[in-house]
This record gives sequence, C-alpha cells and structure tokens, in this order.
Amino acid sequence: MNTIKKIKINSLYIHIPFCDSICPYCDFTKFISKDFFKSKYVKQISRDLICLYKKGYKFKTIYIGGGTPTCLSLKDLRKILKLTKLLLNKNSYEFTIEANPESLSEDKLKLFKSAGVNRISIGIQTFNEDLLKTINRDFNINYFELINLVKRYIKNINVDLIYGLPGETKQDLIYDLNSFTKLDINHISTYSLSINPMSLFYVKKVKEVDEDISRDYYDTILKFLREHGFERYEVSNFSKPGFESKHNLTYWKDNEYIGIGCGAGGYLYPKRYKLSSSLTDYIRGKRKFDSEIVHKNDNIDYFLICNLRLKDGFYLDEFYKRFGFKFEEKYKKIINKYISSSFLVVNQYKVYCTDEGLIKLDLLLRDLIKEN
Amino acid sequence: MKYDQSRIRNFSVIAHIDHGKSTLCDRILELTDTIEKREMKSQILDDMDLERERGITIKLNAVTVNYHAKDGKDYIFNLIDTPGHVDFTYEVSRSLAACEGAVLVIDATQGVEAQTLANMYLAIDNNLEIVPVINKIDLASARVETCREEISSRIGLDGENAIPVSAKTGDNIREVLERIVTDIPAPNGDNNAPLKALIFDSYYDSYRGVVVLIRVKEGKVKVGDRIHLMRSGADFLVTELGLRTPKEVQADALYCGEVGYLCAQIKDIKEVRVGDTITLKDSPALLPLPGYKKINPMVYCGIYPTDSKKYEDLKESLEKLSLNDASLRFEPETSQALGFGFRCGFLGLLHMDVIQERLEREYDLDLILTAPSVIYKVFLTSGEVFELSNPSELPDLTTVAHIEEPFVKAEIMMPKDYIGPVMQLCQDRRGIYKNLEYFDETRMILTYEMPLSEIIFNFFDKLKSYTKGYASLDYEFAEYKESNLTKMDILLNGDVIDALSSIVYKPFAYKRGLKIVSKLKEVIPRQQFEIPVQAAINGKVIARADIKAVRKDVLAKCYGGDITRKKKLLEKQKEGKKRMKSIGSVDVPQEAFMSLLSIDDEENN
Repeated sequence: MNTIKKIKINSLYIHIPFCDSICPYCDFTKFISKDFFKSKYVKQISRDLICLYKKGYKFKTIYIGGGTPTCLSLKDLRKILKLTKLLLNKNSYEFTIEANPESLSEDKLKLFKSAGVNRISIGIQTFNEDLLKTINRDFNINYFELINLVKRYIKNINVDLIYGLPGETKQDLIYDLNSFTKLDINHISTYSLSINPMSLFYVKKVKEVDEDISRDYYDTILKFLREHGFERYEVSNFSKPGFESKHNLTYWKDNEYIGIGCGAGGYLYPKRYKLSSSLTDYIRGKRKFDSEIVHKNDNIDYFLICNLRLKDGFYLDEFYKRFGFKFEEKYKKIINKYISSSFLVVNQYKVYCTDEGLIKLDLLLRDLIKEN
Repeated sequence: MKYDQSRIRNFSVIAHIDHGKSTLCDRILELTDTIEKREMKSQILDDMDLERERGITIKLNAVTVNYHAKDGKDYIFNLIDTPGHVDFTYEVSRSLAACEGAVLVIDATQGVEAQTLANMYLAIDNNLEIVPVINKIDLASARVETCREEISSRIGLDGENAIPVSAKTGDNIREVLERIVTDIPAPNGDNNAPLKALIFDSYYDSYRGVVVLIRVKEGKVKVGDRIHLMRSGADFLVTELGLRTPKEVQADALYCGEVGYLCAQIKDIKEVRVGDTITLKDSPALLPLPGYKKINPMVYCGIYPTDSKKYEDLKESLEKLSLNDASLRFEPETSQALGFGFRCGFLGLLHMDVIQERLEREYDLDLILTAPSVIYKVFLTSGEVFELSNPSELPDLTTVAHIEEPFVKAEIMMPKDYIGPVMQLCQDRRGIYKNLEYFDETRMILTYEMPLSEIIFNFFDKLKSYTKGYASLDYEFAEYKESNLTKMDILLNGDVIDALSSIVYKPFAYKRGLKIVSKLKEVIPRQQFEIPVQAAINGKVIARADIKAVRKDVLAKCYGGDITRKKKLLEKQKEGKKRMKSIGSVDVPQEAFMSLLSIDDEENN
C-alpha cells in the first residue's frame, strides 16, 4: 500500500530561500545571501534529498525555486544537483530551475545541463530600465545575449513578465511584449503586480494599479501573445503548444507533491503542510511545519480553486471519481448563474471558464467554495 | 453601622468630559477604605468597557462607603455617578435628584466649560449644595487662580472656597471628603412618613430580574413589603434590599435618606422607569416625587440584522439593553430592502453609537443601521397630522400640505478666532442667528436656532474640524417649524431602496443628491454588472452615478506554497460578502447606509 502511494507522487519542489537583492514585490520566504548560511542550508537540503532517495522516490517533475537558486555557488549547486539526479524518473521528466539574470553564468548552465535540468525559468520581469530600477534590478544586462547563451544548454525556457508596476504605461507594456516575444522562447508567465503584506512595496505603500487598467493590460497581453503563437493554458501562464509546465500542472490539477526547504509547502493526501520559514530552525535540522488534514469538503474547494484556473478546466467524470458525486448536479444553481453570464462552460465532458470567466474566476470560486 | 440619618451624605460628582471625574471618584473610594487599591481597576464606577474606552460614563451607578471624619464620627457616603453627555440630561437630573450635594470638578488647565455650566444648572435646579473642586493642579499648565475667578464670575459660587486637588496624585482629596461632611447637608425627610423612594437607575440581572437603584426620600422599605410604582402603576413584592459598597451587601430594610438597591422579581422592565416613585401598596404616599418625565427620543434610525435569521436575537438584545436604558425605544418595522428590523429611538447620536456598539460587541450581532432621522410632523391636505420617524413612510407628496421639523437651540462655545467660519457653517446649515456673547476674554458663545436634522448631519465633526477641536456644542429642543422639505429616494439598479430614503431641504436637494450617489458609488464595491445609482425626488431622477462592474477578479499567482493561503483568502472574502446586504442583485456593505451622513456638503468640487 505504502509503495503504491509513493509512486503516485510525481513532483518535488525544492526551495532555495536566498537572494542577492530583494525584489520589492516578493513575499516568498527569502533571505539576503550569506555564504555561511547557504552552505549549511545546502547540507540540510541534501539530507532531505537523501532521505527521499532512500525511500525510493522517483519524480517526474522537479522544480528548484526560490528565492534565487542561482545565487548559490557552483559548489553548492553541484551538491544539490548530484542528489536530484538520483531522484529523477529517467524515462520521462521535467526538471526546472529558477534563475535570475544577474546570477546566471555559463558555468552554472553547463552544470545544469549535465545534472539533467531541462527547463529554466528566468525572472526577467521587464525590459524597461526605469521599471527595472523600481524593482531593484540590474538594468545593464543584455537579455538577448543571455537567452542565446541559455539556449545553447537548455531549450525549454520560461521568462517572467510583470505588469502594473508603478509608473508603467501601456506603451511600456507593449514594448515589453515585443521584446519578450523576440527572445523566441516557449513559455511566458505574466503577473500583475500585487502588493502583499510581506513585501517591500507594501511597506512603501505602493498601490496596485486600478482594476480597469489591470484588466486592459491583461487583455493586451492575452491578445498579443495569442497572436504570437502562445496559448494561455492557466490564468497567468502562456506557452507554445506542448510546452506547458508539467510541474506547475501538478498544482493546478490538485495532485500531490513534496516540498522541501525552508517555507516550502507540500501536499501528501490527506495532509497539506507548510514548513516553517525560520532559516535557523531549518539549518539546525528542525523540520517544523503547519499542516492541515484536508477534509473532504476542503479537498473539493482545493480541487476547484486549482483546476478552474486552467483553460481546460476539469473533466466531470474525474470530479465524480474523486468525490463520489456529480459536480454539475451539486452546484447546479451556481453553475447556471455563471453559464448564463457566459463565464462558464459545462459540456458533456468537462467544465471550464471562458476568457471572461477566467479573468473573474474568484467571483465564481467565492460562490463555489464552502457550499458543500 | 447603625442607621443615623444625620450621618448620611448623598452626593454626585459632576464634571465636563475629561476633567477627571472618574479619577476623583476612585480617589474618594480609596480614601474611604472601601476598596483596596490593588483590587481596583482604574475608574471603578465606569463599569462597562465601552465607557472606559470612550472616557464617557453611560450607565449610572452608586456606591455606599464609610468615612471616618476628622470630627471622630463615621459617616455614610453615597456617591452617585452621573453620565457626562448632553444626550443623557434626564438621567443626570434624576441622579442629581437623589442627592443633597454635588462635587463640581473643574479642570485647572481648561477652566469652566459650557458643559460644566449646563451640569451646574441641573444641580442648582435640584437645590444641591455645591462643593467646587479644581482638579489637575499637578499639571504645569494648571491655572488655579484663574479657575477661582471663573468659578466666581461664571458660576456664581465663591471661588476662594474651591479646593485645589490632584485626583491623579491624590493630593488634597481628604479635604474634599471633609467638605462633603461639613458642607453637604444630611438628607431630610421623615423616616416615619409613607414611603417615597426615587428610582434613579436600574439594571437587569438574569437571576433576580430588574435590580432597581433607589434613594429613599421618605419613610422606609423592608424585605417582604408590597410596593407600588406610582407612575407606572405596577405592584411588586420586595425580595431583596441592600447596599453596594460596591460589592452588594444585603439589608433587611432601607431607611429614609439611604441609597441602595431593590429587587422585587420585576420581569417587565417597562414598569420601572427612571424618575418613578416607589411607595408602599398598603400605606401609599399621597403624591409621587416631582420631576418625572417620560423622555422622548430625538433621533430615530432603523436597525436590521445583516443576517435575517438573527432578527429574534436582535429583538432580545434590544430588550435587554433597554433594561438599563429607559430612553431607548424600539418597535418592529419592515423594509423592502433590509427585511425585518426595528425602528429605534435615541436621545441623540452618541446614544445611538453607544447602543450600536453594545449590540455589536456584547451581543455579537452584525447590524445595518439606516441613517438617523429626526421626527417630522407631516400635515396632510386632508387636515390630518402625523409624526414621521421613517422617511420612507412619507406619503405621496401631493397629499402633503406641509412638513414641520424640530429646531434646536444650539450653543457653541469656541475661541473667538473661529467665530467667522463657525457662523458660516451655521448659516450653511440653515441656522438662525440668535446671539453672540463673550464667555471670557478669549472664548465666545454663539447661539443659533437650527434644524436638528442639520446637527445630525455631520455637524459636530465639521464644527470640530473648523475649530481645530476647540468648540463645544450643546443643544436642546426648541420648537417645530415649517420647512421646505421633500423626500429624496435612492434607486439602485432602478429600484427604490426604502432604507436609503431621506427627508431633505428642497433647495439643498440637488447638491446633496449628487453627493450621495457619488458617495454610494464609492462605498459599494464593484458588482458583477454595472449598476446605476440614482437620486430621485417625486419620481424625477436628479443625480446618477454608476457602480462599475467587476473587470478583473483573480489572483495572479497560485502555486504549491500559495494554495492554502489562497483558499483562506477566498473564504475570508466570502465571509465579508456575507456581511453585506444583498438588495436585488446588489451587494451593499453596512457603511453604505450610514454614508448618507458622512458626505461632505461644503466641499465644492
């Protein structure tokens, strides 16, 4: 029984909570790099990886995120990647690492390639110098050269694009979209700037852009990227056909995953956990975490919250298999309301949001959750 | 201690807000060894959190303490606390009627204030002996001599007689106690006469029913006596008597001059009104005590539970609150928009705020309050006249001959530099100038006759901001006067929302309509579809704004570490939405109803 369960878990997330500079919008667990802590941290990550290896895990997707994984030294990265290599399901896998333009080097790329990393996610955010300054980033990097260098080692590339930064105009956005598509990559994640309480922008009282502007920018992005061969397969994610992020699809399809590292979250049914964000706890070998036993109802909520973010929504019979009743019957009233306002489509096989519905998804979700 | 009428001193402490009344009361209690210092919460007489928080005293209270005076004798002090706000004048007057004397507290840094005068007049009205006290002499800005002068010149008491004290440090408090013994007379009244006891407060106790605080003016009352309430006509059997020290100490009887509590298994609180007279059923007094008034609320508003299932809870809570609060009125009403609720009457806006907060805090209710309204007198063309407390009930204007509204005499005291803007404010609010006089070299008292509805409408906040907080306002009902009034309806998505209707002064209607719709547009969140908000008079739309439709409502990021957080966020938002009232297809937040009051009339943009 236990073995079957392990096989079911296909995804591993590894959190590297260090950064060379702090992005003012970020509210993830992160610490300004201190080499002393980094090597201790890597030692602990290695311990966890070995533990997973001993238990026999083989993952179809591994994602090293942060923070900034690339701000680790070559030596530290090598230690981690030596172990992750053992955890990959060799037949078919996606292995992603997040990188910042500032801390990416050819040596590191070589290492990644040799360790089996086959996807890279680069936080470019914007090409606009002024906007780069507002988010504390180095604006002296030639992104075209950088991406060309990356392509020599890793073909599958995602870049992050942020919009709605203070002072950004629509011209700025279109300039960015042009630049991003010229990079000739196959995945773009776009995020409207959201000001979270744990971020520097929040402290500085920076405000999010007006809803109407945010919508206008979103529509601009959607139209532009579609015209350039990208498909929006999730609220904020665009890819060329076949280049969807398999790892992130694990989350959106509400499948289980293991997360390790300080502040990382994980989902091992029926438990969702979040490791303590205390760096000192982690490097002392303490694995404190908050966890939640996911009751059936919550589980339905999680399922809907995740799956409806996808352009393709979910299959009705999959819902039925998981929860034992029919989605289309249980939520009939709500479904009809959203169908009649053209936000939702329910056909014989599946449920999914329309373009209009996806951008207002939380309206629907608020009605659906806790209604079981 | 054996009963001795000559050793009783019944007194109140009266003061302007923040002049240190409660602290002084605490010091008095300490010095009389009633309460050990360590078991004292600060300001023990204000026994509701709310009072302590706001620095005002709402509920009356009384404490009996023992004082060993310098003459070697023991005295019984009954300290009767009074509320300190203009809304509660009647309660103040009844608790003063239970006393022979009053300690008047004046802040040495502030001097005599308009409110101090108002309370003084009440005290003098009740023939009380006044012991003036100048408090806060420990502060560097204290100006004791000026205060003495003001006491002489403004109040007409001998300022040289005033006792300088610091309630904070305890300095000179014993002198106050001695003067209470020497200056305030013992209660007169005949212990053998038929019973007359004044009810000056009551509160509800779930075990004993209504507990009544009384002052025995004539005669005596014993456990087992059959009593008769002379105004309400109700009869009861006395089950318990006692003193509050402040712990309750039971007694077999209360005698002439004493202050204590009485229980008589009184379930129906409407039969126990402050100001009523208790006598004995079998040997009644001939006449009740003077001064009883069935006081009338000046301000009305609708109170509705956000969740309509909580109607019964709201009803029970209002009933319980009215146990301690004879001036709170409520009767059921129905609103198309808000469902079942109550039209509630209050003495004033502060009173309304206090009740709202208590309902929400002590009874854990989510409420929607409609904007308060005064009581209009509506004269119909048919010759019929009726009182209107709910604007939405104003009949078709073609059947209305004219409408009268209550005017008050408003006295505003302020530093003279602010006279100009304040007069302008009063003029803008339809005030009729009556008088302007110097109070002292720096302060003036401005008297206006003004519609009460204008005072309710954000006036006090405006006044404070025009005078940097230096003005004080006192008002009392003057008379009803005919005004050029009409009803303004608010339409959401084309439907009249009765709970948002208001009576407005016609010449102001257009401007106010505009302000209201733009304010509503601001406080009502985006809806699924665009919703027009309109103001209309007599079916004619005079202003419009549109609540925007939601255009984007989705979190940008949802990855492994965020999912739980995202779910919690959605749940929280869902809860927030539940607290709004769904009217038709529009979710209206609580504050929308009160926002009618907070719109800024003077701002011209």
